[in-house]
Amino acid sequence: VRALDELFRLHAAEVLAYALRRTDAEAAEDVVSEVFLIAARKLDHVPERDAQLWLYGVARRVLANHRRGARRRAALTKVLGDLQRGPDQPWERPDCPLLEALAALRPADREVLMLSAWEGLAAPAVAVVLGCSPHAVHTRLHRARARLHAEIARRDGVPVSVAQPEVFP
Amino acid sequence: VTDLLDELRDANPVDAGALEVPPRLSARVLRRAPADARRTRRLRVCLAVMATAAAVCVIILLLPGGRGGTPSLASRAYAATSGDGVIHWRTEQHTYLSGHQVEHRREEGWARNGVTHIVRYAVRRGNVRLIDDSRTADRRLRMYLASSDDYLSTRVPNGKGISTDPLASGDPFATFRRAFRTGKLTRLGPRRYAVDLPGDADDGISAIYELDPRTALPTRFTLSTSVVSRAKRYDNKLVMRFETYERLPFTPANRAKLRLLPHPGAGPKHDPAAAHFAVLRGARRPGSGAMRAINRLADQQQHFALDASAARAISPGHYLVPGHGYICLATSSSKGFGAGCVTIAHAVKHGVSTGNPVTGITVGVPDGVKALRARERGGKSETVRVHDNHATLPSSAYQWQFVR
Repeated sequence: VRALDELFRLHAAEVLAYALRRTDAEAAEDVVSEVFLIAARKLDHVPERDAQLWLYGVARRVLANHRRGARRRAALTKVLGDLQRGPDQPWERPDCPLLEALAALRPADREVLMLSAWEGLAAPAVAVVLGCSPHAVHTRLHRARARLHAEIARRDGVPVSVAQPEVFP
Repeated sequence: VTDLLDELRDANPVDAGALEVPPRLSARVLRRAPADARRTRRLRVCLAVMATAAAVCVIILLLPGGRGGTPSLASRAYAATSGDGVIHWRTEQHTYLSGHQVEHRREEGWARNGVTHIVRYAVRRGNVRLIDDSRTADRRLRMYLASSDDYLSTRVPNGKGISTDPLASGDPFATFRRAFRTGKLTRLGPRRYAVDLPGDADDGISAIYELDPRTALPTRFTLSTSVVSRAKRYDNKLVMRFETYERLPFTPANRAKLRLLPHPGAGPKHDPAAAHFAVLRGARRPGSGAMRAINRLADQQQHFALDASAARAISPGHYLVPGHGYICLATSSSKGFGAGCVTIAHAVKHGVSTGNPVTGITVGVPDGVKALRARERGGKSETVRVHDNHATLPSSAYQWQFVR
């Protein structure tokens, strides 16, 4: 119990911030509560050095479960169309093209960008949270940046650099 | 090409440092968790006692006399692949998404004490193409990427435990040995073993090794994942066939395979772009408005070491900007500014391009190229003449070839 207290004291704010960047305040508290409940059950599995990343990884899965639940509920009330890309992002602002474009990305692209820019994680740390290799993170980050860039350009109609195509023999 | 990550950082909606955790949340977590954890622990102890009893029964039943059995296949595999020397492997990897093969890769690697050298190839319709050549030492990775003829350097995490990615360490059999050492290996059959990966069992990830009963060396590794998205389940699989997995003696020749040399003939070099692009030697300089944007580009993309003062206009609104081993083709209009950058070696071979769906694709090409033969979506082909080291292709073009 003491270890859980310590874990909560050290990382609750970071996990809450992580959740608040991805869902509304009420759901964020539910997510934090669930994350630390899982941590309490699996205290032996929480790594000492990378506890924060481990908690982010759990929070990511808990949030995904919440979103799936929200979609199922939405389907029942026939408003699925409004929730196709998940619950509204708390930070979506019509006056900020960057955040609007971010909201329009696929969840996987959005997550790798947010972990890098908002959680301030380096690629190896992002790899721990996402459960993939640092190589994969570099690739995903590169693609996500390109897609965000393209999305902004698409909305503004500005020129964008294009990928170098393969040259046929 | 502004640095979007910096802009995103500035747009961070929640400052974790200034965030107060609501007292009701602390009370909710710290009141609920201990009781729940105690319940789980009690359940775990009961399960552990039952599992131990069952295991003892199985062992007694399986080993006649209970003593003196031959070493298991797993322990023979561990012994055969551990110890001093250089591990060498050659594998064929097939990736399947929902039952359809989407990728075939070939890999050859060498590893010793965390130092690895891995060369990966893509196999497509019988053609083998280098993807990358990566070398890791002291947790620093340096990778040559063939597609962009460029290098990537990064730190890699400490790979001493079993991670959720069983191939993270490079050596495709290392996870088996770690699982064997830490008791996280489950025997599924006479020659099949599963590794208990971290995380929940219901994550839908399984990692299974198959061994040759005669040599105790790996023959196949299967990594299966299940992803549920929009109420639909996707079963994905990576099947790795081991062509070779061996422990080579630590001789100078085998040690040389791990030497951290740059890939021969690869990567950006000291090769002045002006030697290949005549416009850089004589064309007019960009106007003051474009120069401001080019200076900004040079400041933001320091990796390319761009020399803004050497930038030259190749057509209205298009500029070639040389750098140290790189060259960028920048485009400027009333709607914005963008650039495509590649290594000079790549530009000399394939050109450097930028564009958009409205104005088409502008390709900067080296001296001696008279035209571009472009292949367009829909199967159409078109030949476009080159003027002043550039040609403008329709936006539907996706491949092109130099005509000299």
